[in-house]
Amino acid sequence: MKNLVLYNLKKKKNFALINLSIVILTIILFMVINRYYVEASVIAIIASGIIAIVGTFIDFNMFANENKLTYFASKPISIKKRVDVFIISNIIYLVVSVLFAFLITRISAEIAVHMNKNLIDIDYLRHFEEVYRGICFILAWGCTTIFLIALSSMYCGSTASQVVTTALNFILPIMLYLTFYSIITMDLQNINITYNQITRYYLEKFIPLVNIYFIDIFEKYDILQLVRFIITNLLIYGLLQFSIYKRKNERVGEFVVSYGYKNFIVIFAATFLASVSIFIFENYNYIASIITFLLNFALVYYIIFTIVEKNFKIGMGKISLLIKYCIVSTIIIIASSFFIKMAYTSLPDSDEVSKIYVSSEWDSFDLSKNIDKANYDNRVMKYENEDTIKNFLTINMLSNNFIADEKKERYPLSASFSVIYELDNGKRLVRNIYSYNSISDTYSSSNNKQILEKINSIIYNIMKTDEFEKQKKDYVLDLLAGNVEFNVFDLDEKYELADENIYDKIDKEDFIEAYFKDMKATINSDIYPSSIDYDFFSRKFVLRNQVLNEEYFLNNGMKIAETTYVGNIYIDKVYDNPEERKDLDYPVYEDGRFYGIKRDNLSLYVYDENLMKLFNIVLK
Amino acid sequence: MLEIKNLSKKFGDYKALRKVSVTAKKGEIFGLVGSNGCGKTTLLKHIMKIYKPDNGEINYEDHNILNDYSISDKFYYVQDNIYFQNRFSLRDLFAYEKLFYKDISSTKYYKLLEYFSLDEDKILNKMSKGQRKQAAFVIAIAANSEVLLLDEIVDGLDAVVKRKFWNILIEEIMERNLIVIISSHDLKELDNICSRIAIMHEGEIIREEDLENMKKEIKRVQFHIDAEYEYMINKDFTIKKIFKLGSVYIATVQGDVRSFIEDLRNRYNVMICDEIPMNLEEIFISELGNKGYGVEKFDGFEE
Repeated sequence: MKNLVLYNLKKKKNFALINLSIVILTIILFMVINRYYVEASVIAIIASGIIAIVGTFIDFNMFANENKLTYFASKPISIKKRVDVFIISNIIYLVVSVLFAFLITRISAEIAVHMNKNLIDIDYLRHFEEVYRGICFILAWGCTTIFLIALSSMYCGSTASQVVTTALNFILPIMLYLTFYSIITMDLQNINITYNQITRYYLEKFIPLVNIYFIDIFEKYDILQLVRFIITNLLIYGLLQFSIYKRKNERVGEFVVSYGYKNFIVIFAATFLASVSIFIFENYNYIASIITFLLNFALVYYIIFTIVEKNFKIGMGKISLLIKYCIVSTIIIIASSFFIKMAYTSLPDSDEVSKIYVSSEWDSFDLSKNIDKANYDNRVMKYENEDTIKNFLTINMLSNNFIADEKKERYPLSASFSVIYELDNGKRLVRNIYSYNSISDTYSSSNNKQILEKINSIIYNIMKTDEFEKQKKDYVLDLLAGNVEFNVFDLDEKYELADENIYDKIDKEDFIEAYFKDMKATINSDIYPSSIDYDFFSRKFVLRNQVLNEEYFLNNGMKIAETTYVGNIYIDKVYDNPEERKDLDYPVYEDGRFYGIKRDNLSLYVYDENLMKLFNIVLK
Repeated sequence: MLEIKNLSKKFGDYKALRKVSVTAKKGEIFGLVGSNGCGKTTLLKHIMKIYKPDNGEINYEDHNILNDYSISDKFYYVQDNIYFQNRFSLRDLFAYEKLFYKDISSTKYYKLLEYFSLDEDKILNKMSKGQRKQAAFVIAIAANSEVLLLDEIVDGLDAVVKRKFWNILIEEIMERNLIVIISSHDLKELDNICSRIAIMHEGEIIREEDLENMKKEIKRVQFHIDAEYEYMINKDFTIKKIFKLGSVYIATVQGDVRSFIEDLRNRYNVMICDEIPMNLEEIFISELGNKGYGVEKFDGFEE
């Protein structure tokens, strides 16, 4: 086997030559002529990965050519071993060629740096880390693609179908995710809900795309990522072994040689396309949605079968399969709508709930993963007070009643915010709450208006609690300490957001003062609370109280990434008073600078690089 | 000994092999003949484990070879539509085959190259069909396998090259006592070389026997009698076919031909009676004729 692997690698010398040519061409075009160093590396690496994948297709093409298959299969080596040889040699080739491309481009860039030091600044080196991460990504996806090509080849009798089914197998989890998402969305429309963030929460649990596609493999350098990568490929390899055992080397030349796989892929693809079509073309009539789904399925089913079978006639067996599918899928869809309604509206007892997390972010499912590090990315606020918990359960119940009642109005709703109930046993339930701002005055019935007013009055009470105020204050401290990226946008005369981020232009002290006054006024006022989490809309307050000459809109965005420039506030490491530095609660060193805050007396110490000014802001 | 027992295979609803049982002994050239699409290649591909049978077994020297790759290097198969890897020369092919066949002989390889006057460095896919067959044959012989399966190996070869092939095969068999199974439509060639023949039709072996016995058992008798011939059932022989050409009868007789002639003499006044030995092609047509695959008279194109 070792000899065969070496032989197969030797056979790839032509590919290596093409690879080398592309790398050199990339260096000449991007590095030498245009001075795009990072781009050159990335293109060379991706090209190497693609060439390795093309080489793999060519190797596995033996299963799509009768004469070739007969020749290779007649040799005294089992198909299983031959597949292993192809997999091993192609993975070796992939790794070597990608690393080679990286090395060559890196050396070229280094030479360029040494020849002209003004050519590349510190960004160049920093971006090379991203190139390195990109390598991990290409290698991980490349390896898995090689396994998938092997697997697809077992089911296919032509090179074209090998390529198509490899792509389909690769995106199978995404297709499965979107299929479920679309069908659940259809069910939710039936109970008058559109933005189904809870669907994503549950689907992400059962089909964790980030883990399946090891998206984080280059983000987090932990062993778990590697384990996930290995397990995914072992699963594919296990399936491959089973497929090799079942493969009979018959019907070579047809698109798909396995009847089972052919039926599976046609039904799956048709289900996917039919369900996505009903998702795209929203239809608020439930029965019409189901009928549209079934009709779309039947049409796509017929079209795909005519392509796969190269025959416009469809046999009785296929029609029978279609009818069975339609009956079963209709039953499943209707049954699922009942379960979904239960899952979306049932509530725990207040005694069972230990704490509550609240956020208006639609991506609330992320909270389940990292909820205790509740960062401002997801605008999560935490409540543990017993009365507050009861208040939330009450407004959640009112909200559920409201949804049920509002259904007759035939307007789908989007939730105001999501609540995660953490139970004593550690279990978490995610639920949506609909408040006044979801619903237009124009069409809500008087009964519903009463419900909404009740919900809002309870929200006011929650906003007057200490828990709420403290979290709001901590937020602005972290915000200004640079723990959270934020942007400040000016409002034009029409009170619309301007595009430009004016953070650098504003006076920070004035800003903080305005923020706190605004917050307190919002809590104590009877104006409608625009949000119960960290969102901050100061427009109404500013207009009424005239605190600032300028009006600001604060919008927190993503957390500071290491490579961004957003963290403009630093305390320099040459800080005057080293003793004081020790006392700071959150000292952070970054790029040779230092910053921190002191929460006890709500003081913020920042060094603004742009203004070359050290602030000591006392917030009380 | 290579023994195939009750091998069956279906492709969908089509029965490609129906309980095929065949035995090929060492030191013999086994001819596999049959109608088009009768399953000869399918049978060979089963022996090479390219196809998996639905039922039955294949034993070589008492090993069931279907799931055993340990003795696979004792088998070599040359397929009808010969495949060579892209841009491969005979030198490359020999190097590649060396990876699989530990007994492959360089001496034989070079001698055969010389014998067939083949250019070792010429790209195989640029060679003529005949040259490609010769190249495949050279490697097959050099591989020193114990069982050699040749599918339509002489198809498209000139008479001289065919003769060369048979010479080498005979020498190999005498020297190494190997089993050679040849599938071919060229029955005249097989007639000269095979010691044992299996006739296939629609996935079944309809006859398997030593060629000499087969020829002894079925003969053509040409006779002239003073009356119309009337067939009477006789346990010693069967008349497969009889027709009259002028005043002379020509009968294909299977079984004891002596008894047939004796029966003829007892019942009629026989004026002429000659035994004519049948060749393989005639036997083949006769056997398949009994299975409804005969040479029917063409009625012309007029409706």
